[in-house]
Amino acid sequence: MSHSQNAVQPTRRQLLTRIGITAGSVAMYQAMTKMGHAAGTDFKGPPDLAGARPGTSVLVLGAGLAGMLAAYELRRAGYTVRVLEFQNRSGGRNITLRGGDTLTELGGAKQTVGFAPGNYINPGPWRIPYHHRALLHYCKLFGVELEPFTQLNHNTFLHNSNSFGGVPQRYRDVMVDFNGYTAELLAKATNQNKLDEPVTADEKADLLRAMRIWGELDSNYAYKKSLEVSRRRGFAKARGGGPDGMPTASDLLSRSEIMKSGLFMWMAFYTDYDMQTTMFQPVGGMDMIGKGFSKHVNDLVTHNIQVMKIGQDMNGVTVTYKDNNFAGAVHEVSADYCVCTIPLPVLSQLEVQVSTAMQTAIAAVPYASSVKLGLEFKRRFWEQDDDIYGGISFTDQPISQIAYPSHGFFTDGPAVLLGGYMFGPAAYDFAGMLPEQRVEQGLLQGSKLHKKYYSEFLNGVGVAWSRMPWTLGCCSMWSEEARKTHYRALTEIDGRIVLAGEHASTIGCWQEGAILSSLSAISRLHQRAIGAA
Amino acid sequence: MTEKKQVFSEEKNQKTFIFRPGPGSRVAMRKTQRIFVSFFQKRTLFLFCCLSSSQAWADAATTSSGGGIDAATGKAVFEHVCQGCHQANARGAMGAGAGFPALAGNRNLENVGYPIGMVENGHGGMPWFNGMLSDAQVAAVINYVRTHFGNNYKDMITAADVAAAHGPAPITER
Repeated sequence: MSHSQNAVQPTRRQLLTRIGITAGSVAMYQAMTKMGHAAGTDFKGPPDLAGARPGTSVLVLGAGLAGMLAAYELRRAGYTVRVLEFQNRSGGRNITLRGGDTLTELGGAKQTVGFAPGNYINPGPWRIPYHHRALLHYCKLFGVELEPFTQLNHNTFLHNSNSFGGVPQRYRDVMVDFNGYTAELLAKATNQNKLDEPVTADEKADLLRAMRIWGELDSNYAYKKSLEVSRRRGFAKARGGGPDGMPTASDLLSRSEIMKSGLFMWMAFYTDYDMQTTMFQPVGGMDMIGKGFSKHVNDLVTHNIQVMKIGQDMNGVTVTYKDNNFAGAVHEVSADYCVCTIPLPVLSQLEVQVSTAMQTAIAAVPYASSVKLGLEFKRRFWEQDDDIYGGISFTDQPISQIAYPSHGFFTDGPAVLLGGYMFGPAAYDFAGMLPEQRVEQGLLQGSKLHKKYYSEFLNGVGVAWSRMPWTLGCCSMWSEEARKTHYRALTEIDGRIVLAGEHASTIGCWQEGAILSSLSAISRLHQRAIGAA
Repeated sequence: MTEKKQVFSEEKNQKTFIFRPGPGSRVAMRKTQRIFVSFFQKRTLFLFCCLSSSQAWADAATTSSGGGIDAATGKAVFEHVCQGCHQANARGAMGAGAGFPALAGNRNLENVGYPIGMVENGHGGMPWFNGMLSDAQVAAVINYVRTHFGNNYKDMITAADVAAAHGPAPITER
């Protein structure tokens, strides 16, 4: 038997323990990284910007996370920094909507958020993977309190309008039955020697054992309704105490219906590196991060500034802007260098004096359209009626998903859930609706998953990112071809100008991408400024 | 401006700008027309591929297209896809010194090659729709826009015209 080798070959954990004891924690970390553990994003710690020449000035365009991080680190290094921001607030797409907030979108529709005090929705980023170390580093540095974000919840719903009579199924049931049926089929094929690839005797035994455990198969390798299987998918009559405490087994879903439904695709969703647990969210709303940054750089930021032109020559950078604090008066400001974090859909329409290669790159990366709905209900019926505490339900309807709050469990009173989160065609469609129509559609579609949707509804907000005047979209949408052709030109320093933001990273659409691109940009700019590069 | 003087010592108020012309959109478009093998080529696979993996946006929980675009008429395509940015009246909108161009009275619509190239390949903030909309849908929506919102062009295009103008769809990064 193959497992007898375990007696002579150390298990991975044993090996790690030995390395840890004999060579110290650095070797331990390196060993773990090599073995595929503990590898996070490419964060090497705060930047080393030693040796900055006093008086060297850097103009930062945009006060989102990338811009504010650049400002924070560059000033700390000794640079003279100023930040220009189009909005009357800092944070960029790091934003949270609360009761009383207003949102005016392109086209003129204005929404006033009606949430009760303490309730909020994060229309932009809303969760942080544990391995997004750069962002987590600055959260810790700036005292941003984090709490767990419930990513995977086995009790949420998976819904396909055309399967199971349109009745939403629990994630757990789909998962257990899909695994069970698949294991059964594999075991059967293995036993009948029908696998295409030759399987050795050892492998065959291993595979059969694995299938039994993975799929909860019986001694004949069958996946059947049983108390054992019900220990995974739940019982028909629940376990209890006393004489009547014996449970009964639950019925399985139909194999063909499960396979046809495609619902198992949502199991694969959670296998994405960036979608794995543990996830975090800031206590009180995602914008606590933006506020954490802002606390340290707010004195450098001028709001209500609309950049018109970015020019440069051998001596420096000159930015022409409209000052909307003073009736749109046009001014110029100059500096030695510029870190530009303006979203590409906006930047591609401004006059920017950079190489043709960079200009082409700027115009080659459109932004995805995305829509999020925040719906407030009178009570947490998803917890009280459906036993769902955080996590995400998925549906094949345009709203795509419903995500339940990861905070405030068991509390009474109104609560807000994410009533839809769309990209692609559904996002284009919803962006074309009036805000009240988006909410209306969100209710209609969500009611297929939760019967109490209409009776418990209070108010809602629908945020279409393509209609946000300052980004004209949600986040960068790269084609493989554009990445190959334009990424380098987009990210390299052009004279005295460097771009930063999630679009200038390979962790697009994540805050981590914004942070890492900014760290890269200012590190390279610093080398240039001190004459080292 | 005093605020500038406070922060920066260098004064370049009278600076002469040298603006290089933006890249010709046609050049940029050609570059996106490389040969790809794409699920999108087969319309029947559209829903499946979108639901599975082709558009797994980083911070998007879902990859769902929400059922694809089944709009059949030019009017329906406009309302379900275009008006989210170009506005229901096709007059566009301006944001931070940038925005979405009006399609109403837009002289660029005169030569049909321009809207076909723009819809299929995208440019700037405009995404490509090659692979998301069928050739028939693209033809229908261009015909619709060129004959509405005050536009009154007489020459209609067909799906074949659209098909002849683009290559395989780009593959969106995961």
